[in-house]
Amino acid sequence: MLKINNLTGGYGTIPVLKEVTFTVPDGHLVGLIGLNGAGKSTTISEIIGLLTPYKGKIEINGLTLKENPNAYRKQIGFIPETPSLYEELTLKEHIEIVLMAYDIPMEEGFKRAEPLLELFRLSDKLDWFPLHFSKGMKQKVMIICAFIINPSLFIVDEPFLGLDPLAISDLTRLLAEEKSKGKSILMSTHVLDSAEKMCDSFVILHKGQVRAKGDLKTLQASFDMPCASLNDIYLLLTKEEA
Amino acid sequence: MKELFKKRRQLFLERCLKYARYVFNDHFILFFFLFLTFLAMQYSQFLQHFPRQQVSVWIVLLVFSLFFFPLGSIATYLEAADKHFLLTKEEEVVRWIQTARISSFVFWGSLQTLCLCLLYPVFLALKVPLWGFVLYLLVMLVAKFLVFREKFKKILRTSHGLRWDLAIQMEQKRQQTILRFYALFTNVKGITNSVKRRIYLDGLLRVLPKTQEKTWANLFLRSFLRNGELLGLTLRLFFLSFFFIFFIENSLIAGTLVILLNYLMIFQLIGLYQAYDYQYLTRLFPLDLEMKKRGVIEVIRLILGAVLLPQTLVSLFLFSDKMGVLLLVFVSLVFLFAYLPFKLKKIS
Repeated sequence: MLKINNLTGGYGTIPVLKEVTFTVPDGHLVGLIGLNGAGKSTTISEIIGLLTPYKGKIEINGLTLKENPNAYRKQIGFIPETPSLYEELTLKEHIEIVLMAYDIPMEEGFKRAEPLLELFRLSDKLDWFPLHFSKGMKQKVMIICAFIINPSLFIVDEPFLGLDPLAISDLTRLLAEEKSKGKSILMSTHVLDSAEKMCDSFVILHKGQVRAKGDLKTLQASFDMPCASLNDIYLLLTKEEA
Repeated sequence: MKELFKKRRQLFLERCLKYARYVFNDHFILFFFLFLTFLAMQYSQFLQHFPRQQVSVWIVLLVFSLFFFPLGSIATYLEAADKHFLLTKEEEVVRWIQTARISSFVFWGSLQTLCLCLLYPVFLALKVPLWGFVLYLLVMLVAKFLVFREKFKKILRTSHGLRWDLAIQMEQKRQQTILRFYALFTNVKGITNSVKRRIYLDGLLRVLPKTQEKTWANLFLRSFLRNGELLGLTLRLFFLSFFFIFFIENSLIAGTLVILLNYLMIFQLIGLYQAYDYQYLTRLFPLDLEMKKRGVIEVIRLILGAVLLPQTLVSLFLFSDKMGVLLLVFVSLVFLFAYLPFKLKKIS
Protein backbone atom coordinates (compact mmCIF):
# COMPACT_ATOMS: atom_id res chain seq x y z
CA MET A 1 0.00 0.00 0.00
CA LEU A 2 1.25 3.47 -0.92
CA LYS A 3 0.40 6.26 1.51
CA ILE A 4 1.10 9.89 0.69
CA ASN A 5 0.42 12.33 3.46
CA ASN A 6 0.56 16.12 3.13
CA LEU A 7 3.27 16.01 0.49
CA THR A 8 4.74 19.37 -0.52
CA GLY A 9 7.59 19.26 -2.96
CA GLY A 10 9.08 20.37 -6.25
CA TYR A 11 12.25 21.42 -7.98
CA GLY A 12 14.78 23.68 -6.30
CA THR A 13 12.89 26.18 -4.24
CA ILE A 14 9.74 26.22 -6.37
CA PRO A 15 7.02 24.08 -4.80
CA VAL A 16 4.98 22.27 -7.45
CA LEU A 17 2.97 20.05 -5.14
CA LYS A 18 1.00 21.48 -2.25
CA GLU A 19 -0.19 19.23 0.55
CA VAL A 20 -1.02 16.25 -1.62
CA THR A 21 -2.64 13.38 0.24
CA PHE A 22 -3.88 10.08 -1.18
CA THR A 23 -3.43 6.32 -0.84
CA VAL A 24 -3.15 3.43 -3.26
CA PRO A 25 -4.49 0.39 -1.33
CA ASP A 26 -3.36 -3.18 -2.03
CA GLY A 27 -5.13 -4.73 -5.00
CA HIS A 28 -6.12 -1.34 -6.37
CA LEU A 29 -5.33 0.49 -9.57
CA VAL A 30 -5.42 4.24 -9.05
CA GLY A 31 -5.34 6.64 -11.98
CA LEU A 32 -3.40 9.88 -11.57
CA ILE A 33 -5.14 12.39 -13.81
CA GLY A 34 -4.44 16.04 -14.57
CA LEU A 35 -3.59 18.58 -17.24
CA ASN A 36 -0.04 19.14 -18.42
CA GLY A 37 1.92 20.72 -15.58
CA ALA A 38 -0.59 19.65 -12.92
CA GLY A 39 2.15 17.85 -10.98
CA LYS A 40 1.71 14.19 -12.02
CA SER A 41 5.36 13.61 -12.96
CA THR A 42 6.54 15.52 -9.89
CA THR A 43 4.39 13.28 -7.69
CA ILE A 44 5.94 10.22 -9.32
CA SER A 45 9.47 11.60 -8.92
CA GLU A 46 8.81 12.18 -5.23
CA ILE A 47 7.55 8.63 -4.75
CA ILE A 48 10.43 6.92 -6.55
CA GLY A 49 12.93 9.12 -4.73
CA LEU A 50 14.35 11.29 -7.49
CA LEU A 51 13.08 14.30 -5.52
CA THR A 52 13.03 14.84 -1.78
CA PRO A 53 9.82 16.20 -0.27
CA TYR A 54 9.99 19.59 1.49
CA LYS A 55 7.22 18.45 3.79
CA GLY A 56 5.01 15.43 4.30
CA LYS A 57 5.53 11.69 4.27
CA ILE A 58 5.54 8.93 1.67
CA GLU A 59 5.23 5.34 2.88
CA ILE A 60 5.13 2.04 1.03
CA ASN A 61 3.98 -0.83 3.24
CA GLY A 62 5.17 1.14 6.24
CA LEU A 63 8.66 1.74 4.80
CA THR A 64 10.10 5.19 4.08
CA LEU A 65 12.97 6.12 1.78
CA LYS A 66 14.80 7.90 4.57
CA GLU A 67 14.78 5.08 7.08
CA ASN A 68 14.99 2.02 4.83
CA PRO A 69 16.23 3.20 1.43
CA ASN A 70 17.02 -0.22 -0.03
CA ALA A 71 13.96 -2.05 1.25
CA TYR A 72 11.80 0.90 0.11
CA ARG A 73 13.27 0.87 -3.39
CA LYS A 74 12.73 -2.87 -3.72
CA GLN A 75 8.99 -2.31 -3.34
CA ILE A 76 8.74 -0.24 -6.53
CA GLY A 77 8.48 -1.34 -10.13
CA PHE A 78 8.64 1.79 -12.27
CA ILE A 79 7.72 2.06 -15.94
CA PRO A 80 8.71 5.57 -17.08
CA GLU A 81 7.07 7.62 -19.80
CA THR A 82 10.31 7.79 -21.78
CA PRO A 83 12.28 4.54 -21.91
CA SER A 84 15.68 4.94 -20.31
CA LEU A 85 18.16 2.27 -21.35
CA TYR A 86 21.87 1.57 -21.09
CA GLU A 87 23.64 2.33 -24.33
CA GLU A 88 26.29 -0.32 -23.75
CA LEU A 89 24.15 -3.22 -22.53
CA THR A 90 22.33 -5.87 -24.54
CA LEU A 91 18.72 -6.75 -23.78
CA LYS A 92 19.83 -9.87 -21.87
CA GLU A 93 22.31 -7.82 -19.83
CA HIS A 94 19.59 -5.29 -18.98
CA ILE A 95 17.64 -8.12 -17.39
CA GLU A 96 20.78 -9.44 -15.66
CA ILE A 97 21.71 -6.05 -14.21
CA VAL A 98 18.21 -5.53 -12.83
CA LEU A 99 18.28 -9.02 -11.27
CA MET A 100 21.71 -8.31 -9.78
CA ALA A 101 20.69 -4.94 -8.37
CA TYR A 102 17.52 -6.34 -6.80
CA ASP A 103 19.37 -9.44 -5.55
CA ILE A 104 17.22 -11.95 -7.42
CA PRO A 105 18.84 -15.28 -8.44
CA MET A 106 19.48 -15.35 -12.20
CA GLU A 107 17.62 -18.60 -12.78
CA GLU A 108 14.50 -17.44 -11.00
CA GLY A 109 14.64 -14.04 -12.71
CA PHE A 110 14.90 -15.48 -16.18
CA LYS A 111 12.04 -17.85 -15.39
CA ARG A 112 9.98 -14.72 -14.73
CA ALA A 113 11.33 -12.92 -17.80
CA GLU A 114 10.82 -15.69 -20.37
CA PRO A 115 7.01 -15.54 -20.70
CA LEU A 116 7.22 -11.73 -20.90
CA LEU A 117 9.91 -11.83 -23.59
CA GLU A 118 7.77 -14.33 -25.47
CA LEU A 119 4.65 -12.18 -25.06
CA PHE A 120 6.38 -9.05 -26.38
CA ARG A 121 8.19 -10.98 -29.15
CA LEU A 122 11.66 -10.10 -27.89
CA SER A 123 13.00 -13.62 -27.20
CA ASP A 124 15.14 -13.60 -30.35
CA LYS A 125 16.64 -10.16 -29.67
CA LEU A 126 18.41 -10.91 -26.38
CA ASP A 127 21.83 -10.10 -27.82
CA TRP A 128 20.86 -6.75 -29.34
CA PHE A 129 21.56 -3.30 -27.99
CA PRO A 130 18.03 -2.07 -27.16
CA LEU A 131 19.28 1.39 -28.12
CA HIS A 132 18.57 0.42 -31.72
CA PHE A 133 15.02 -0.73 -30.91
CA SER A 134 11.89 1.23 -31.86
CA LYS A 135 10.27 3.31 -29.14
CA GLY A 136 7.60 0.67 -28.51
CA MET A 137 10.20 -2.08 -28.19
CA LYS A 138 12.22 0.02 -25.74
CA GLN A 139 9.06 0.55 -23.71
CA LYS A 140 8.52 -3.22 -23.66
CA VAL A 141 12.03 -3.66 -22.23
CA MET A 142 11.13 -1.21 -19.45
CA ILE A 143 7.93 -3.14 -18.76
CA ILE A 144 9.79 -6.46 -18.53
CA CYS A 145 12.42 -4.95 -16.19
CA ALA A 146 9.67 -3.62 -13.90
CA PHE A 147 7.78 -6.93 -13.78
CA ILE A 148 10.73 -9.28 -13.11
CA ILE A 149 11.54 -7.65 -9.78
CA ASN A 150 8.10 -8.66 -8.49
CA PRO A 151 7.40 -5.34 -6.73
CA SER A 152 4.51 -4.65 -4.40
CA LEU A 153 3.81 -1.26 -6.00
CA PHE A 154 3.79 -0.53 -9.72
CA ILE A 155 4.21 3.04 -10.87
CA VAL A 156 3.30 3.44 -14.50
CA ASP A 157 3.78 6.77 -16.23
CA GLU A 158 1.84 7.18 -19.50
CA PRO A 159 2.06 3.46 -20.29
CA PHE A 160 0.32 3.57 -23.65
CA LEU A 161 2.61 5.98 -25.48
CA GLY A 162 4.44 4.28 -28.30
CA LEU A 163 2.91 0.84 -27.74
CA ASP A 164 0.90 -0.88 -30.46
CA PRO A 165 -2.72 -1.87 -29.68
CA LEU A 166 -1.70 -5.49 -29.12
CA ALA A 167 0.96 -4.51 -26.59
CA ILE A 168 -1.49 -2.12 -24.89
CA SER A 169 -3.99 -4.93 -24.39
CA ASP A 170 -1.20 -7.24 -23.15
CA LEU A 171 0.00 -4.66 -20.64
CA THR A 172 -3.55 -4.00 -19.48
CA ARG A 173 -4.00 -7.73 -18.87
CA LEU A 174 -0.67 -8.01 -17.05
CA LEU A 175 -1.56 -5.12 -14.76
CA ALA A 176 -4.96 -6.66 -14.03
CA GLU A 177 -3.25 -9.94 -13.09
CA GLU A 178 -0.88 -8.16 -10.72
CA LYS A 179 -3.80 -6.29 -9.19
CA SER A 180 -5.62 -9.53 -8.52
CA LYS A 181 -2.49 -10.76 -6.70
CA GLY A 182 -2.90 -7.81 -4.31
CA LYS A 183 -0.33 -5.43 -5.81
CA SER A 184 -0.99 -1.69 -5.74
CA ILE A 185 -0.72 0.23 -9.01
CA LEU A 186 -0.49 3.97 -9.61
CA MET A 187 -0.95 4.94 -13.23
CA SER A 188 -0.58 8.40 -14.69
CA THR A 189 -2.27 8.82 -18.05
CA HIS A 190 -4.05 11.10 -20.50
CA VAL A 191 -5.83 8.26 -22.27
CA LEU A 192 -9.02 8.81 -20.32
CA ASP A 193 -11.39 6.24 -21.80
CA SER A 194 -8.88 3.45 -21.08
CA ALA A 195 -8.29 4.88 -17.60
CA GLU A 196 -12.02 4.94 -16.94
CA LYS A 197 -12.28 1.24 -17.79
CA MET A 198 -9.11 0.11 -15.97
CA CYS A 199 -8.89 2.14 -12.78
CA ASP A 200 -10.67 1.44 -9.52
CA SER A 201 -10.38 5.05 -8.46
CA PHE A 202 -8.79 8.35 -9.51
CA VAL A 203 -6.76 11.18 -8.06
CA ILE A 204 -7.31 14.38 -9.99
CA LEU A 205 -4.44 16.79 -9.62
CA HIS A 206 -4.88 20.43 -10.49
CA LYS A 207 -2.23 23.10 -10.06
CA GLY A 208 -0.27 20.87 -7.69
CA GLN A 209 -3.20 20.07 -5.44
CA VAL A 210 -5.64 17.19 -5.19
CA ARG A 211 -8.77 18.62 -6.78
CA ALA A 212 -10.82 15.45 -6.25
CA LYS A 213 -10.33 11.75 -5.54
CA GLY A 214 -12.37 8.57 -5.45
CA ASP A 215 -14.18 6.35 -7.93
CA LEU A 216 -16.11 7.76 -10.87
CA LYS A 217 -19.30 8.16 -8.84
CA THR A 218 -17.53 10.19 -6.17
CA LEU A 219 -15.93 12.36 -8.86
CA GLN A 220 -19.27 12.95 -10.56
CA ALA A 221 -20.71 14.07 -7.23
CA SER A 222 -17.70 16.23 -6.39
CA PHE A 223 -17.88 18.07 -9.74
CA ASP A 224 -21.66 18.11 -9.57
CA MET A 225 -21.89 16.32 -12.92
CA PRO A 226 -23.98 13.15 -12.57
CA CYS A 227 -23.51 10.72 -15.52
CA ALA A 228 -20.40 12.60 -16.68
CA SER A 229 -17.53 10.60 -18.11
CA LEU A 230 -13.94 11.05 -16.98
CA ASN A 231 -13.41 12.95 -20.21
CA ASP A 232 -16.19 15.45 -19.38
CA ILE A 233 -14.68 16.03 -15.95
CA TYR A 234 -11.26 16.55 -17.48
CA LEU A 235 -12.64 19.10 -19.95
CA LEU A 236 -14.26 20.96 -17.09
CA LEU A 237 -10.83 21.25 -15.49
CA THR A 238 -9.58 22.92 -18.67
CA LYS A 239 -12.33 25.50 -18.38
CA GLU A 240 -11.46 26.12 -14.74
CA GLU A 241 -7.90 26.70 -15.92
CA ALA A 242 -9.10 29.36 -18.40
CA MET B 1 18.95 31.47 -44.53
CA LYS B 2 22.53 32.48 -45.12
CA GLU B 3 22.44 34.56 -41.95
CA LEU B 4 21.34 31.55 -39.90
CA PHE B 5 24.22 29.39 -41.11
CA LYS B 6 26.73 32.21 -40.78
CA LYS B 7 25.63 32.64 -37.19
CA ARG B 8 26.08 28.94 -36.55
CA ARG B 9 29.53 29.08 -38.12
CA GLN B 10 30.46 32.00 -35.91
CA LEU B 11 29.20 30.20 -32.79
CA PHE B 12 31.16 27.05 -33.63
CA LEU B 13 34.33 28.99 -34.38
CA GLU B 14 33.97 30.94 -31.13
CA ARG B 15 33.63 27.63 -29.30
CA CYS B 16 36.77 26.27 -30.98
CA LEU B 17 38.62 29.47 -30.11
CA LYS B 18 37.62 29.09 -26.48
CA TYR B 19 39.02 25.56 -26.37
CA ALA B 20 42.10 26.59 -28.34
CA ARG B 21 43.01 28.95 -25.52
CA TYR B 22 43.21 25.96 -23.17
CA VAL B 23 45.22 23.90 -25.64
CA PHE B 24 47.74 26.54 -26.67
CA ASN B 25 48.73 27.62 -23.20
CA ASP B 26 52.25 28.84 -22.37
CA HIS B 27 53.71 25.40 -21.75
CA PHE B 28 52.27 23.96 -24.89
CA ILE B 29 53.52 26.87 -27.04
CA LEU B 30 57.01 26.46 -25.60
CA PHE B 31 56.97 22.71 -26.20
CA PHE B 32 55.49 23.26 -29.66
CA PHE B 33 58.27 25.69 -30.70
CA LEU B 34 60.94 23.35 -29.37
CA PHE B 35 59.37 20.56 -31.37
CA LEU B 36 59.22 22.75 -34.51
CA THR B 37 62.87 23.74 -34.10
CA PHE B 38 63.78 20.08 -33.72
CA LEU B 39 61.83 19.19 -36.86
CA ALA B 40 63.39 22.08 -38.82
CA MET B 41 66.89 20.96 -37.80
CA GLN B 42 66.17 17.38 -38.80
CA TYR B 43 64.80 18.63 -42.13
CA SER B 44 67.89 20.71 -42.90
CA GLN B 45 70.13 17.77 -41.88
CA PHE B 46 68.17 15.58 -44.27
CA LEU B 47 68.60 18.10 -47.12
CA GLN B 48 72.33 18.42 -46.48
CA HIS B 49 72.83 14.66 -46.52
CA PHE B 50 70.34 13.94 -49.28
CA PRO B 51 70.07 10.20 -49.93
CA ARG B 52 71.57 8.99 -53.19
CA GLN B 53 68.80 6.43 -53.58
CA GLN B 54 66.14 8.82 -54.89
CA VAL B 55 63.45 6.15 -55.45
CA SER B 56 62.67 6.03 -51.73
CA VAL B 57 62.25 9.83 -51.64
CA TRP B 58 59.85 9.66 -54.58
CA ILE B 59 57.85 6.93 -52.85
CA VAL B 60 57.59 8.99 -49.65
CA LEU B 61 56.46 12.00 -51.70
CA LEU B 62 53.83 9.90 -53.44
CA VAL B 63 52.49 8.52 -50.14
CA PHE B 64 52.50 12.04 -48.71
CA SER B 65 50.53 13.39 -51.68
CA LEU B 66 48.05 10.52 -51.57
CA PHE B 67 47.51 11.24 -47.87
CA PHE B 68 47.04 14.97 -48.44
CA PHE B 69 44.58 15.38 -51.28
CA PRO B 70 41.52 13.57 -49.78
CA LEU B 71 41.72 15.65 -46.56
CA GLY B 72 38.98 18.14 -45.71
CA SER B 73 35.21 18.18 -45.78
CA ILE B 74 32.49 20.69 -46.52
CA ALA B 75 31.62 22.74 -43.44
CA THR B 76 27.84 22.90 -43.84
CA TYR B 77 26.86 23.60 -40.20
CA LEU B 78 23.68 21.56 -40.67
CA GLU B 79 21.96 20.38 -37.49
CA ALA B 80 19.75 17.35 -36.88
CA ALA B 81 16.58 19.42 -36.44
CA ASP B 82 17.06 21.05 -39.87
CA LYS B 83 15.69 17.91 -41.48
CA HIS B 84 12.39 18.86 -39.93
CA PHE B 85 12.34 22.64 -39.75
CA LEU B 86 14.16 23.59 -42.95
CA LEU B 87 12.65 20.92 -45.18
CA THR B 88 10.55 23.46 -47.04
CA LYS B 89 13.64 25.59 -47.64
CA GLU B 90 15.57 22.75 -49.21
CA GLU B 91 16.62 24.71 -52.30
CA GLU B 92 18.07 27.51 -50.22
CA VAL B 93 19.91 24.99 -48.03
CA VAL B 94 21.40 23.39 -51.15
CA ARG B 95 22.51 26.83 -52.37
CA TRP B 96 24.15 27.43 -48.98
CA ILE B 97 25.97 24.10 -49.17
CA GLN B 98 27.22 25.13 -52.60
CA THR B 99 28.69 28.32 -51.11
CA ALA B 100 30.07 26.31 -48.20
CA ARG B 101 31.69 23.90 -50.63
CA ILE B 102 33.57 26.74 -52.34
CA SER B 103 34.77 28.34 -49.12
CA SER B 104 35.80 24.97 -47.70
CA PHE B 105 37.70 24.23 -50.91
CA VAL B 106 39.48 27.59 -50.74
CA PHE B 107 40.44 26.94 -47.13
CA TRP B 108 41.69 23.38 -47.62
CA GLY B 109 43.26 24.19 -51.01
CA SER B 110 45.31 27.04 -49.53
CA LEU B 111 46.29 24.94 -46.53
CA GLN B 112 47.41 22.12 -48.80
CA THR B 113 49.40 24.43 -51.11
CA LEU B 114 51.06 26.09 -48.11
CA CYS B 115 52.11 22.78 -46.62
CA LEU B 116 53.33 21.46 -49.95
CA CYS B 117 55.44 24.61 -50.47
CA LEU B 118 57.49 23.43 -47.49
CA LEU B 119 58.51 20.50 -49.68
CA TYR B 120 59.99 22.74 -52.39
CA PRO B 121 63.60 22.20 -51.16
CA VAL B 122 63.11 18.43 -51.59
CA PHE B 123 61.96 18.98 -55.17
CA LEU B 124 65.00 21.22 -55.74
CA ALA B 125 67.26 18.49 -54.42
CA LEU B 126 65.54 16.07 -56.78
CA LYS B 127 66.42 18.50 -59.59
CA VAL B 128 62.77 19.16 -60.48
CA PRO B 129 62.44 22.51 -62.30
CA LEU B 130 60.18 25.25 -60.86
CA TRP B 131 57.52 24.73 -63.53
CA GLY B 132 57.42 21.06 -62.59
CA PHE B 133 56.80 21.92 -58.95
CA VAL B 134 54.08 24.44 -59.86
CA LEU B 135 52.47 21.81 -62.07
CA TYR B 136 52.54 19.39 -59.12
CA LEU B 137 50.81 22.00 -56.91
CA LEU B 138 48.17 22.58 -59.58
CA VAL B 139 47.50 18.86 -60.06
CA MET B 140 47.09 18.48 -56.31
CA LEU B 141 44.71 21.45 -56.27
CA VAL B 142 42.62 19.95 -59.06
CA ALA B 143 42.55 16.65 -57.16
CA LYS B 144 41.30 18.48 -54.08
CA PHE B 145 38.66 20.22 -56.18
CA LEU B 146 37.44 16.88 -57.51
CA VAL B 147 37.33 15.46 -53.98
CA PHE B 148 35.11 18.32 -52.84
CA ARG B 149 32.90 17.92 -55.92
CA GLU B 150 32.44 14.23 -55.12
CA LYS B 151 31.61 15.00 -51.48
CA PHE B 152 29.03 17.53 -52.65
CA LYS B 153 27.52 15.11 -55.15
CA LYS B 154 27.27 12.46 -52.46
CA ILE B 155 24.88 14.52 -50.35
CA LEU B 156 22.75 15.55 -53.32
CA ARG B 157 20.23 13.17 -54.74
CA THR B 158 19.84 13.42 -58.48
CA SER B 159 16.17 14.30 -58.68
CA HIS B 160 14.86 14.85 -55.16
CA GLY B 161 17.38 17.32 -53.79
CA LEU B 162 19.30 16.94 -50.55
CA ARG B 163 20.05 13.67 -48.73
CA TRP B 164 19.34 15.19 -45.35
CA ASP B 165 20.36 12.29 -43.11
CA LEU B 166 23.70 11.83 -44.82
CA ALA B 167 24.46 15.55 -44.94
CA ILE B 168 23.66 15.98 -41.24
CA GLN B 169 25.64 12.86 -40.34
CA MET B 170 28.67 14.13 -42.29
CA GLU B 171 28.55 17.51 -40.61
CA GLN B 172 28.25 15.92 -37.15
CA LYS B 173 31.23 13.70 -37.93
CA ARG B 174 33.25 16.72 -39.05
CA GLN B 175 32.48 18.69 -35.89
CA GLN B 176 33.10 15.68 -33.66
CA THR B 177 36.54 15.19 -35.20
CA ILE B 178 37.47 18.78 -34.37
CA LEU B 179 36.03 18.63 -30.85
CA ARG B 180 37.71 15.29 -30.18
CA PHE B 181 41.08 16.93 -30.83
CA TYR B 182 40.37 19.53 -28.16
CA ALA B 183 39.06 16.80 -25.85
CA LEU B 184 42.61 15.40 -25.68
CA PHE B 185 43.61 18.50 -23.74
CA THR B 186 40.54 19.78 -21.96
CA ASN B 187 36.92 19.00 -21.07
CA VAL B 188 34.72 19.47 -24.11
CA LYS B 189 30.94 19.54 -24.04
CA GLY B 190 28.95 17.75 -26.69
CA ILE B 191 31.30 14.87 -27.48
CA THR B 192 29.21 11.84 -28.30
CA ASN B 193 30.61 8.39 -27.81
CA SER B 194 29.64 5.62 -30.10
CA VAL B 195 28.90 2.26 -28.56
CA LYS B 196 30.37 -0.81 -30.22
CA ARG B 197 29.14 -4.31 -29.52
CA ARG B 198 32.63 -5.96 -29.61
CA ILE B 199 31.15 -9.41 -29.15
CA TYR B 200 34.66 -10.97 -29.17
CA LEU B 201 35.35 -9.34 -25.80
CA ASP B 202 32.31 -10.90 -24.10
CA GLY B 203 34.52 -13.68 -22.70
CA LEU B 204 36.32 -11.12 -20.52
CA LEU B 205 33.06 -10.26 -18.79
CA ARG B 206 33.10 -13.66 -17.11
CA VAL B 207 35.76 -12.41 -14.67
CA LEU B 208 33.01 -10.85 -12.60
CA PRO B 209 30.33 -12.88 -10.82
CA LYS B 210 26.77 -11.71 -11.35
CA THR B 211 25.88 -10.87 -7.75
CA GLN B 212 24.32 -7.83 -6.12
CA GLU B 213 27.65 -6.54 -4.74
CA LYS B 214 29.11 -6.65 -8.24
CA THR B 215 26.23 -4.84 -9.99
CA TRP B 216 28.24 -1.66 -10.53
CA ALA B 217 31.45 -3.48 -11.40
CA ASN B 218 29.50 -5.37 -14.08
CA LEU B 219 28.14 -2.10 -15.46
CA PHE B 220 31.52 -0.32 -15.47
CA LEU B 221 33.37 -3.21 -17.10
CA ARG B 222 30.82 -3.24 -19.94
CA SER B 223 31.18 0.49 -20.36
CA PHE B 224 34.96 0.12 -20.54
CA LEU B 225 34.85 -2.65 -23.12
CA ARG B 226 32.15 -1.26 -25.38
CA ASN B 227 31.80 2.48 -25.01
CA GLY B 228 33.82 5.26 -26.50
CA GLU B 229 37.52 5.73 -26.41
CA LEU B 230 38.61 4.27 -23.08
CA LEU B 231 39.55 0.82 -24.34
CA GLY B 232 41.53 2.22 -27.28
CA LEU B 233 43.26 4.77 -25.08
CA THR B 234 44.24 2.12 -22.52
CA LEU B 235 45.62 -0.14 -25.25
CA ARG B 236 47.63 2.71 -26.80
CA LEU B 237 49.17 3.62 -23.44
CA PHE B 238 49.83 -0.07 -22.77
CA PHE B 239 51.74 -0.55 -26.05
CA LEU B 240 53.58 2.72 -25.58
CA SER B 241 54.76 1.48 -22.18
CA PHE B 242 56.32 -1.58 -23.89
CA PHE B 243 58.02 0.73 -26.36
CA PHE B 244 59.69 2.46 -23.39
CA ILE B 245 60.56 -0.84 -21.69
CA PHE B 246 62.18 -2.17 -24.87
CA PHE B 247 63.99 0.88 -26.17
CA ILE B 248 65.09 3.03 -23.22
CA GLU B 249 68.33 1.73 -21.87
CA ASN B 250 68.35 3.47 -18.50
CA SER B 251 66.04 1.27 -16.38
CA LEU B 252 65.14 4.00 -13.90
CA ILE B 253 64.10 6.44 -16.64
CA ALA B 254 62.15 3.72 -18.46
CA GLY B 255 60.46 2.72 -15.20
CA THR B 256 59.52 6.32 -14.43
CA LEU B 257 58.04 6.81 -17.90
CA VAL B 258 55.96 3.63 -17.57
CA ILE B 259 54.74 4.85 -14.16
CA LEU B 260 53.70 8.10 -15.84
CA LEU B 261 51.72 6.17 -18.45
CA ASN B 262 50.05 4.05 -15.76
CA TYR B 263 49.12 7.21 -13.89
CA LEU B 264 47.57 8.66 -17.06
CA MET B 265 45.66 5.40 -17.52
CA ILE B 266 44.20 5.54 -14.00
CA PHE B 267 43.41 9.22 -14.45
CA GLN B 268 41.45 8.54 -17.64
CA LEU B 269 39.71 5.47 -16.20
CA ILE B 270 38.32 7.46 -13.27
CA GLY B 271 35.98 8.93 -15.90
CA LEU B 272 34.15 5.59 -15.82
CA TYR B 273 32.58 6.67 -12.52
CA GLN B 274 30.35 9.08 -14.39
CA ALA B 275 29.71 6.81 -17.38
CA TYR B 276 26.16 5.99 -16.34
CA ASP B 277 25.07 9.38 -15.05
CA TYR B 278 22.82 9.73 -18.10
CA GLN B 279 20.78 6.75 -16.88
CA TYR B 280 18.59 8.06 -14.07
CA LEU B 281 17.07 4.66 -13.40
CA THR B 282 20.31 3.50 -11.76
CA ARG B 283 19.43 5.96 -9.01
CA LEU B 284 16.35 3.85 -8.27
CA PHE B 285 18.33 0.65 -7.67
CA PRO B 286 18.27 -0.60 -4.07
CA LEU B 287 22.05 -0.14 -3.79
CA ASP B 288 24.21 2.09 -1.57
CA LEU B 289 26.33 4.81 -3.14
CA GLU B 290 29.35 3.10 -1.57
CA MET B 291 28.75 0.13 -3.87
CA LYS B 292 29.16 2.36 -6.92
CA LYS B 293 32.52 3.57 -5.66
CA ARG B 294 33.66 0.05 -4.81
CA GLY B 295 32.56 -1.08 -8.27
CA VAL B 296 34.61 1.48 -10.15
CA ILE B 297 37.66 0.87 -7.95
CA GLU B 298 37.38 -2.87 -8.56
CA VAL B 299 37.20 -2.44 -12.34
CA ILE B 300 40.12 0.01 -12.48
CA ARG B 301 42.26 -2.32 -10.33
CA LEU B 302 41.31 -5.21 -12.58
CA ILE B 303 42.37 -3.32 -15.72
CA LEU B 304 45.57 -1.97 -14.19
CA GLY B 305 46.39 -5.42 -12.81
CA ALA B 306 46.11 -6.83 -16.34
CA VAL B 307 48.45 -4.06 -17.52
CA LEU B 308 50.96 -4.15 -14.66
CA LEU B 309 51.52 -7.91 -14.69
CA PRO B 310 53.02 -8.16 -18.22
CA GLN B 311 54.86 -4.85 -17.69
CA THR B 312 56.52 -6.28 -14.57
CA LEU B 313 57.39 -9.64 -16.15
CA VAL B 314 58.93 -8.13 -19.29
CA SER B 315 60.86 -5.44 -17.41
CA LEU B 316 62.22 -8.12 -15.03
CA PHE B 317 63.91 -9.65 -18.07
CA LEU B 318 64.96 -6.46 -19.81
CA PHE B 319 65.85 -3.93 -17.11
CA SER B 320 69.53 -4.06 -16.21
CA ASP B 321 68.85 -2.21 -12.96
CA LYS B 322 66.17 -4.17 -11.06
CA MET B 323 65.44 -1.08 -8.94
CA GLY B 324 63.49 0.14 -11.98
CA VAL B 325 61.11 -2.84 -11.70
CA LEU B 326 60.67 -2.32 -7.97
CA LEU B 327 59.95 1.37 -8.52
CA LEU B 328 57.41 0.60 -11.24
CA VAL B 329 55.50 -1.94 -9.15
CA PHE B 330 55.63 0.01 -5.91
CA VAL B 331 54.48 3.38 -7.29
CA SER B 332 51.77 1.80 -9.46
CA LEU B 333 50.38 0.00 -6.41
CA VAL B 334 50.44 3.25 -4.41
CA PHE B 335 48.39 4.85 -7.22
CA LEU B 336 45.88 2.00 -7.13
CA PHE B 337 45.50 1.64 -3.39
CA ALA B 338 46.05 5.17 -2.04
CA TYR B 339 45.55 7.72 -4.83
CA LEU B 340 42.51 6.09 -6.48
CA PRO B 341 40.24 5.85 -3.39
CA PHE B 342 41.32 9.37 -2.37
CA LYS B 343 40.51 10.81 -5.79
CA LEU B 344 37.08 9.11 -5.89
CA LYS B 345 36.24 10.43 -2.46
CA LYS B 346 36.85 13.91 -3.82
CA ILE B 347 34.62 13.35 -6.87
CA SER B 348 31.61 12.11 -4.91
